[in-house]
Amino acid sequence: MCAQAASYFRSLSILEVRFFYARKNKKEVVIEIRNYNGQKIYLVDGLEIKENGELVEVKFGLLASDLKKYAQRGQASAIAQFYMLVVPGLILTRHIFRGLERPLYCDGDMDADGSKLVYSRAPTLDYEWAGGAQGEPVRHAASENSAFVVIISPNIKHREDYPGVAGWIERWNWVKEDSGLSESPDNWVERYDCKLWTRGQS
Amino acid sequence: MNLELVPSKPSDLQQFMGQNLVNEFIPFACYDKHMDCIRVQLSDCSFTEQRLNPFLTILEKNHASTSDFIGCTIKGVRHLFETLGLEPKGIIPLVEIIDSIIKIYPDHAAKVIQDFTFSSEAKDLSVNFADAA
Repeated sequence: MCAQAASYFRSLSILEVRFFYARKNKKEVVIEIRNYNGQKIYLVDGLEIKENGELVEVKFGLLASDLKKYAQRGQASAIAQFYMLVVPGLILTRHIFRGLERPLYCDGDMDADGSKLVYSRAPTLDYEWAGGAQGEPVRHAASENSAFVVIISPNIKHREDYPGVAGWIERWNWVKEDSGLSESPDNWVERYDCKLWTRGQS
Repeated sequence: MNLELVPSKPSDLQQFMGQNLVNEFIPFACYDKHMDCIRVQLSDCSFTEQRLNPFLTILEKNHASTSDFIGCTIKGVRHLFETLGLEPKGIIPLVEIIDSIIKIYPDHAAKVIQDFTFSSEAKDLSVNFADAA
């Protein structure tokens, strides 16, 4: 464990922390599970655009109970994609979009579509799961002309209960890639309100 | 910039599966309250969501030699149900929801979803809104 990570975990000693490592660009990335008042949350490294346009590294959360619901339904391949694509890869996002162009009611808000964030990139690999509880991930080359998206709800209403969680991971899946903007969802101009950020563009 | 990923340790994933993957996959239809949509999935696999229109998406299996639809998503359920005169309560058969959509929106997208639903195991599924994910 690098000294920086060790120091980080010491600072979190009052929390129940489990951690995983991924290596990205020869740099260790620490993934953790924190306990907020008895509720376990996976925290995943990601990027957030502040109102002033500043790009900052933040943590996005997924309730451990939500991931267990995937397991209860037997959605093992989605879980494999979470561990192998979302957890180490959300920070590598190529584009960030805001606002779904479709009606969405959520958490008392009939217009929650406007606040949703969409993170997209085009990993070269994909994963499924085979073999049941004692099985293993199966690696595939990603399908051509595909992009992988993660939908996130900004943590606005529950900041006090979940400090340090910038947003909630709602969904992750593959979509067709746009023919005009690589690593973005097909027809993104009609799907989303706006594009907030693209890696490599100021 | 070429940002390639080296995945996290498979053993972490295997540990989670060993502890939590207690059930085999069973085809399901459920209401996702966070995304306000009905998700239908018939197979545990990687898939690509193909957007048919703002309300309807079909799921196509990845890494298969032939095109194979394994699910669909009905989005904007609260708004859509208001239009359809349905209430998102209790248990509603999926075919009933699809029939209602077809009556109001008889377009190509709805036809694709209807064909998928009525020619697959999806026709036997229901959505339990009391059990929203």
